[in-house]
Amino acid sequence: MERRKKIVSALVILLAIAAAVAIGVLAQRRSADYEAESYNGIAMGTIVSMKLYDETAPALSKQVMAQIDALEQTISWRVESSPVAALNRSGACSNETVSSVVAQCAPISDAANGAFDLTIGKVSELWDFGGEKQGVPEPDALRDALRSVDYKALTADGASVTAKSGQHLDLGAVGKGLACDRIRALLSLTDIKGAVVSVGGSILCFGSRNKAGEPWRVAIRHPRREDALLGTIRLKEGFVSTSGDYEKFFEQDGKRYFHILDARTGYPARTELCSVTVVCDNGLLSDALSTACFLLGREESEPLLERYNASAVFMTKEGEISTFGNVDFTANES
Amino acid sequence: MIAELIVDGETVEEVALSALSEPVVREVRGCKIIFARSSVHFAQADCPDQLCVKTGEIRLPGESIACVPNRVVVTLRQTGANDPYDVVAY
Repeated sequence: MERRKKIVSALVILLAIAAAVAIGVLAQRRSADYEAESYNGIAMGTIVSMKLYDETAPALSKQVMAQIDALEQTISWRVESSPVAALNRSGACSNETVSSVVAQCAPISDAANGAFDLTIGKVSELWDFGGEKQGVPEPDALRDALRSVDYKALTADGASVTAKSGQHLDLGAVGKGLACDRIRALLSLTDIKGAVVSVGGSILCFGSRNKAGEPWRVAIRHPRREDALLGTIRLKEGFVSTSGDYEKFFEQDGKRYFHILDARTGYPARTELCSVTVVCDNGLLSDALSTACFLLGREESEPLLERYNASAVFMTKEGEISTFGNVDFTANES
Repeated sequence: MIAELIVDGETVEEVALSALSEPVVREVRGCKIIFARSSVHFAQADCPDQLCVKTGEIRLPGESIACVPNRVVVTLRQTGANDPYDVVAY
């Protein structure tokens, strides 16, 4: 009898220990993860989604959205009161953001032999991708618009930017990446532990998603399949931008036209690529580089990426996937 | 998979796709959205650009469709906590 009591007591103690260990493990797992605030909305004419991580779910999404809205008021040519719209009307504006974008993009335009050019505004307006007048422009109109395209005629001096007469600036190729830079600056002023933000598919990875400091996992959309991803990039912090021929396009007379225009010809890029994803430590640059690399093709992109210490994942129209630089990329097996 | 229907930045409905035995239709602000067991798409929209309709079907967690003029977004997320990735670049 006494012996049975002892066995029961021992079992009870063992069970109690097991339960304590299990609770401990659960508690530890919970404390290893941050709480997240998730938000999805629309700004800059695109989808903005974010996950913000901290010990308790932070309430910062409204500030992030306000930051993007404020930037749009500065850099969108569609906003009549913006400095860019003013420059497009009068050939000059005074704004530090616009000036800094112009200065940062000039060397990329140089390296891309003019295929990437912020003064492509009049040409983009003619194509009007996603707009009510979208369609292949008349050749004469396109020729006229192309005459206004020349980034070398743009000057940025302090805050003041001047363009040659008739030039229209279009910062669409870098706006979403620039928004990611602004969000990074905003988050740096807070104590937030981590954030992943997508502004229309341009990504900011900031801080950590959990206490273990595991890297962020950025999946890349497959340019030809709806049911699979191209693969996943793992990175500690930084910016990721993708340019592809699948995002904005229309078909006319049986031909497909996509929105990444070569500033030298005024037509969609003639490239062997269907998608390029750039990883970089600056949002504006990652956006500009992904567009430039898409226009240049795989081989000519390499010196450009090297110069900016950026890395990339390429996919050709034949379905060949390759990487450049030290990007930690795993292709999807399916 | 959960599909979140968001209007003006506010989640108005969450649809558990895997629990659907047949597609459900929601009409919000001129957008007709079809939620099926493994995908979501915009069947119609009264916006001029039709980008939401042209997006086609989304099937993977982290993917979204937006009708920007109507400020309507649908986004997909995994049901459990163990998402295989944090965000999708496109």
